[in-house]
Amino acid sequence: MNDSEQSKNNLNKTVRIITQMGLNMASVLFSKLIKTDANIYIDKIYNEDISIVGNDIETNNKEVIAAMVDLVGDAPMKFLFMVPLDDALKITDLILGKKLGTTKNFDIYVESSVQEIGNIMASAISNVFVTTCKIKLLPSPPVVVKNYSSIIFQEYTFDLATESNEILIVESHFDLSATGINCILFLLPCLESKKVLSSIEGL
Amino acid sequence: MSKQILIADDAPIIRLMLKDLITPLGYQVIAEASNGEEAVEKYKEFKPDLVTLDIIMPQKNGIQALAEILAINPKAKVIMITAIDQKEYLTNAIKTGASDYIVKPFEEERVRSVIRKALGDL
Repeated sequence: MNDSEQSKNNLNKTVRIITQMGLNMASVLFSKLIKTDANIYIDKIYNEDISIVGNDIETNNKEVIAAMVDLVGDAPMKFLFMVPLDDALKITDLILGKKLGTTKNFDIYVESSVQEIGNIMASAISNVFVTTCKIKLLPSPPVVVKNYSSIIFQEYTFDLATESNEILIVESHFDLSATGINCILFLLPCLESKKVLSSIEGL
Repeated sequence: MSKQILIADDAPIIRLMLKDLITPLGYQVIAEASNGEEAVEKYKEFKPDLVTLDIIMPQKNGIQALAEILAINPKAKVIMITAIDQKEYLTNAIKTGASDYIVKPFEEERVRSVIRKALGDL
């Protein structure tokens, strides 16, 4: 294995371990917020060519609500949480302690439910990175958009394309008891953070 | 007259949840703000007995807003409500002059007790 492959493997291992720790914490906080057991797990970690990124997202043919959060600091990353529109209505009911099906239309509360989930989960992940890696990392205020997932993904990752031809993607899915809610979360380390994270040892 | 509270958070659903928790305690939510700048303006306008301030907000974050509110009134009672559970950051908020902090997602009972304590009702 050459130095480049070794570095890539070390980076993937570091990102996988710390992100899963962050997701474990995010699962606890998300469960508390929606008052329903939630388990968030890493589905896959992969490098993808920037020109085809977003083409095979599971929710491609659906309109989704997304919360986009830039994690700013020593290891900058992009955080993207997406939930199909109909499931966002259910999440709003869960947060407000209402019977599922009560919220029928997209409104400021649905929008801010997704916004707050983005805030809480991105914070949970950054908290774990800060504690584990002894780095500085803070979330920016979440930006919420409504569109098709592939379009959101491509637009959000556009500036990463100026840094590199391929991006590292951590794709995570949610198991939300029997609610039938389908969410997806992406964590995208920026080029600058790859150097920082790949140098972390002892995990 | 009931004590008055200003809620500042960029998420309307959090402002709604806090209002639903605070009102039954007998306090009046006199105003709401969706960013740090608006929080400072509403503080000047309403001079509430207590402010709940989110930290991660657009335009002006909660720590900056806290400093400006304390510059207006050094005795202002401000509770930080944040998802950032980082010791350095929370210590900084307390050093700046926050009365207390609550980590999101919040426990309802903790919100009630922290607010009542800050207002001297516990």
